[in-house]
Amino acid sequence: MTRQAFATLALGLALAAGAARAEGPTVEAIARNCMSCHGEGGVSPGSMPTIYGKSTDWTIGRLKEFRSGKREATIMGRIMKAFADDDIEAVAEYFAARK
Amino acid sequence: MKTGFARREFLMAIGAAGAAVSLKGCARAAKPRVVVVGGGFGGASCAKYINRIDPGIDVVVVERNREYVTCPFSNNVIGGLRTLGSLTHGYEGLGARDGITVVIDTATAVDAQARTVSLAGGNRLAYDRLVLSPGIAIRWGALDGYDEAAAEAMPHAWKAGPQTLLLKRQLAAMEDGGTVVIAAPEYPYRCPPAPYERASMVAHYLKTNGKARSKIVILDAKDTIPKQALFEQGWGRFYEGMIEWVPRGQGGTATRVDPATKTVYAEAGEFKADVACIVPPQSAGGIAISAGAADEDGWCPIDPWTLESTLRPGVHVLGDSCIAGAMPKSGFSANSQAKVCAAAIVALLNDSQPPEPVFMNTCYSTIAPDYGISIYGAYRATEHAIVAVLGSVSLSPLDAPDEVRKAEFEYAQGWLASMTGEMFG
Repeated sequence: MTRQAFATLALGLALAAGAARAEGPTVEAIARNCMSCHGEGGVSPGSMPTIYGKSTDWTIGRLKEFRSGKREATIMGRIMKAFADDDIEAVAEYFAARK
Repeated sequence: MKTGFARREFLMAIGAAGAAVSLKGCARAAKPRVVVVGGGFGGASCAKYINRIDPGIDVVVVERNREYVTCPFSNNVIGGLRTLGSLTHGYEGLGARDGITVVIDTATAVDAQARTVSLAGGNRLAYDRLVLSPGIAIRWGALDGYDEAAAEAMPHAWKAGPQTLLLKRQLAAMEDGGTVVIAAPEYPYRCPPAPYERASMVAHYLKTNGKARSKIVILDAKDTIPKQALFEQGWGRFYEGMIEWVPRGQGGTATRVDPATKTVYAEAGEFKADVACIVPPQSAGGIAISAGAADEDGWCPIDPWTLESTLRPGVHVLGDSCIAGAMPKSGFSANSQAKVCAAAIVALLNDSQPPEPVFMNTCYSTIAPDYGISIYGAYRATEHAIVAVLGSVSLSPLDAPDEVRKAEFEYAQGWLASMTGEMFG
């Protein structure tokens, strides 16, 4: 599905609901899914890497390397396939701001 | 192919959303209250995130047990890799948070008109929004002969706790050369890969306890299984000749059980077991059904944007009980749905629009120690359903080296630590 089609779908939904719904998930909505593995606030209590407090550039670099396959991973390469550049940048900024 | 979660569109729309957000604080007269029934992956996570997003909301969690035992990793207990105690959590941490009260009691009735929940202890709780996350109920008798008494002879172990230990004791008592029968149902049921992880962990236990001549027969009401190639590869490597899978097309569907003789009757014939583990047909938890939130099939239809019941306004249903479209019934799914629901409830109680959901799920399975596999998917909401983000659903690669399987085994443990920390911390 193209981004264009996704946006059109969201618009149709808003019209059907009779009220405007925010289009596209917020960075918080995406980041909460990161925390399911990487721990609350990005602080991992176990074997998962902690992702809180890294610099924005560091996280962007890592996530893009996972997505391209340049950096080997068990699952992050697969997860990153659905992330656009602006998703990656927003998530990186979100966790960097939690230093 | 669509990539990304369309944040650019969100940023363009934020001006309109800002007007609604500004209503916060003046639109509500009294402190609103959310009652959450069920303190598991869905309920505990939802309570925590409502509190995190808007600490001004009064959250009451109603949970019948003082301690929670996670179903994830209970197969590791059967395999001897973990203790049940390591999967057991109390509610002290959750209840200690300002704004969250944990009530150990059983919810017995919901009045969706009056917006109240009755408890077995006699109290009645009023709510502005209700979250039901009761997990599954077993449909006793739906498989001929399988009632509560039968489960004491042929454990389901599909709710972690005493049933897990019962199955473990039966395996310990079984002689080498015995037969273990696992009956797996048709979808939908809790944790699709779990019957096959269970077969793996039973095989591991038997192999490492001097019972390697034993057999495991999986009688299946399905013709394919999740992560099938990965399971078959792992079984060939670690448990050669021990596990036989009988799919639906070869008569694998169980039709009746006899607990007195531990016999499972299937279309393919009679299977006399030394240990029988029956994964029974299931439905939404009892409180979701008695609240009128379930359809004729016993599961709860929901609005995919808010997880609000389409049958009972003001009641949200999470986790195994809800019909979540493409999402599997898993602890991870329940946790992801809980976060979406929490954000939606906070918005609704602040006269704002629920934000667009994004859901994710990862299910790890253990085939052997240091040998883990996973399935991952991202999901989004259409008007009527939760659907997979195109191209996002993926499996561990079939040709992965041992160090990747070991890393997945270790990350699986890390996932549990992170998630239970989030739920109970």
